[in-house]
Amino acid sequence: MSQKAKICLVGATAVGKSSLVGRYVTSIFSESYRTTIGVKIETRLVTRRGRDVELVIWDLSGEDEFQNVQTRYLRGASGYFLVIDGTRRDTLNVAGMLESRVRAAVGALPFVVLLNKVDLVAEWQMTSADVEAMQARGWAVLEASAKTGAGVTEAFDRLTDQILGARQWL
Amino acid sequence: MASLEKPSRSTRRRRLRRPGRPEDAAKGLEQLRQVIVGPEQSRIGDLEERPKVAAETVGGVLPEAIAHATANREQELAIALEPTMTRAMGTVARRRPELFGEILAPTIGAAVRKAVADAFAAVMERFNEALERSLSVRSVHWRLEAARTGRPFAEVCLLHTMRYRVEQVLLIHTETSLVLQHVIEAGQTAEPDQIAAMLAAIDTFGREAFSATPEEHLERFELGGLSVWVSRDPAVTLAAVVRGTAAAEIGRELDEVRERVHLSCRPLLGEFSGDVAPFALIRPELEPLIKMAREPPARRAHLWLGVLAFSLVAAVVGLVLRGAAHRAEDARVRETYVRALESEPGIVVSTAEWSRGHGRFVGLRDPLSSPPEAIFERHGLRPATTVLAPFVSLDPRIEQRRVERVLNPPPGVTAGIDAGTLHVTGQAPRAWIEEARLLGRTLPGVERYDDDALQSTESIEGLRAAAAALEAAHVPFARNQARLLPQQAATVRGVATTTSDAMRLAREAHVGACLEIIGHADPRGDSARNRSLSAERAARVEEELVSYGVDPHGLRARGAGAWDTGGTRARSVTFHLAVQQGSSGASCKEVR
Repeated sequence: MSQKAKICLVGATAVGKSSLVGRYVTSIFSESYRTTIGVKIETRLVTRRGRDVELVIWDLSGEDEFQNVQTRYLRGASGYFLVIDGTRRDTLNVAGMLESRVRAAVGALPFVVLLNKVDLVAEWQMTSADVEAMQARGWAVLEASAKTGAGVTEAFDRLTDQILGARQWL
Repeated sequence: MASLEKPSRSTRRRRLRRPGRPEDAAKGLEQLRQVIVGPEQSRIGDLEERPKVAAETVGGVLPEAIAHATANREQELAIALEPTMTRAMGTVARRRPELFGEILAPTIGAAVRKAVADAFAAVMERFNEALERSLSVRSVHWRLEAARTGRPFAEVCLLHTMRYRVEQVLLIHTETSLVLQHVIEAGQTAEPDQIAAMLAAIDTFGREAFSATPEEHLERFELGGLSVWVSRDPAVTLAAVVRGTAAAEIGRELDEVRERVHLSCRPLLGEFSGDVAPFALIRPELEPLIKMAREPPARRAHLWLGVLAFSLVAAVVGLVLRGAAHRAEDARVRETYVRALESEPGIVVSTAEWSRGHGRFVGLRDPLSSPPEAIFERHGLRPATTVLAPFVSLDPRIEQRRVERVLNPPPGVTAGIDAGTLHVTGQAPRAWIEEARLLGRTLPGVERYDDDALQSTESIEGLRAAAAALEAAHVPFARNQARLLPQQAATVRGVATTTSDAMRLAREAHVGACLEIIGHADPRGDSARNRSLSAERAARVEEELVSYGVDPHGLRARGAGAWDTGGTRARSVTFHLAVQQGSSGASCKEVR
């Protein structure tokens, strides 16, 4: 394979980033790395547009009142996921704040907003207005469930497509 | 040039308004051209000349430029020229192979010879190494370890002789931490992108945690026998995973390779957007980094060590053998001295030492035994130190010496101890006998004293005198009479006294004594009468002697019959004192 891309997952704590990645990859590292140095690395080979792309996925520890997302880890990334827990509205605000910080740290990168936990319909707090507001900002918004696996692959494919699309303009 | 040949719009307008003669028109046009585009035309002319001038200029400084670049930027120059040179050589090789043949012909033979020699040297090296490793003491340990752990001997050997082994090399795009090229030792597996990304994460984490300066980065970390060496610059990072104890040369080698890669891939690195395919060309630069450094067999050192060890062992064995020989010789000499000393009665050796020609012997010595010096001299041995405390030996030989030393027996006397009894025999003066009887009983080892066979010289001489006196005496009788004549009473009384003395002396001399009383008759008359008459006369004297107190056991009377000797001795009684060894005092029964 000749193409590689570094992508990151950022979001509030417990929005399901690691679960999403766990659905998607196999890793040689244990979960403890995320708690020790704030990141866990995983890889996944995808084929898009007839090309193999090795995704090097940086699963960053979540943002909360005790720790900040280490935006330095986004250096050199080709794109990222902004993960939101659909059952916790406050994670939407965190996502907005993180998007600003990422942009300030490494510039504008392709990214996909991932509304996780769509399987928990009864607890869902996101409204269509919220989604539309994000889309109105030009953000790609997708729904997924790390628990059922629904939408996970599509989300990674979508981000990969965005990255490859952006590279064509380089 | 096209713009110069194309008339301008104003010219075209003038041409339409003022038609004239062609030559005038051409002249005017030329003048107009000089006015309008004269300077540009001059500059264009210069530009047309420029390539020629530039080539001359470059050609003029090219040798100096190359020399300067070689002196200051040789590596970059080599990298820059390499593609062109490679293509040029390829072109020449394809188009004029005979030229390549001519160029290579002088060197190809030497190259082949060198390659063959190197191959042989390598084979010999491996053979020697295998031999050395197979025969060394270490190899025995390794074989034991292989047997103990169940691992192949070759693996154990490799484990112990390996200094370090570069297992994998990662060429990483510093900005994205994506792996551009990954070279790994056969048989190893890895997830290079995950490793590279985690390296970058650790670098970031470490720099953040310890407030490192922007220039400070993770350069190396170690995990037991494994270490990861990192050489990085802002564009490219080279990481090597090394097992074993890597020398600093690994770091320098990584830096050199990274710099070469950077120079040759600078455009690619600057434009990198995730496509790693173009970096496959750089792989040959990385592959030599995968290698293994082993402990040099140091055969010479081992040989010398072996020789040294052998010499030491030989020396030690020699010393041990020599020491053993010396000890054996010492023991033999010591035993000789001990035997010599103990062959002498009255000496007991308790401790014997002999070393390097000097001896020391400790023990006991009876003063009656020979001096040690005399003993050594008698056995042909050199003098040696002796520490012999005096003691009383009960050795029979020493006891005999002691008897002789103490009793000092006179000639004719024998004294000896047998089973605790001191036997003294022979003839000695009475005074000596008395003294010996006292001293003999006090000697060590003497339980009984026996001098029954010891005769006093005085007693023997007295006996001899008594015997002579009795032989000379006779008691005459009247013819045909057996009565004692009165005038013979004194004679008989004298015989009685002498006999009693003789008996006493015989007892002293531990001999038996018997006085024979022999009666005689003259030849007249018949023989029977003479025998009875002679017997009567002897019996009569015996009675008379007994009456004088003589012990009758010491008397024996007999008639000898007629005695044709003439005179009064024919009608008399004579005497003979018989002495017999083995009895004591009056004892005619034992006397034959």
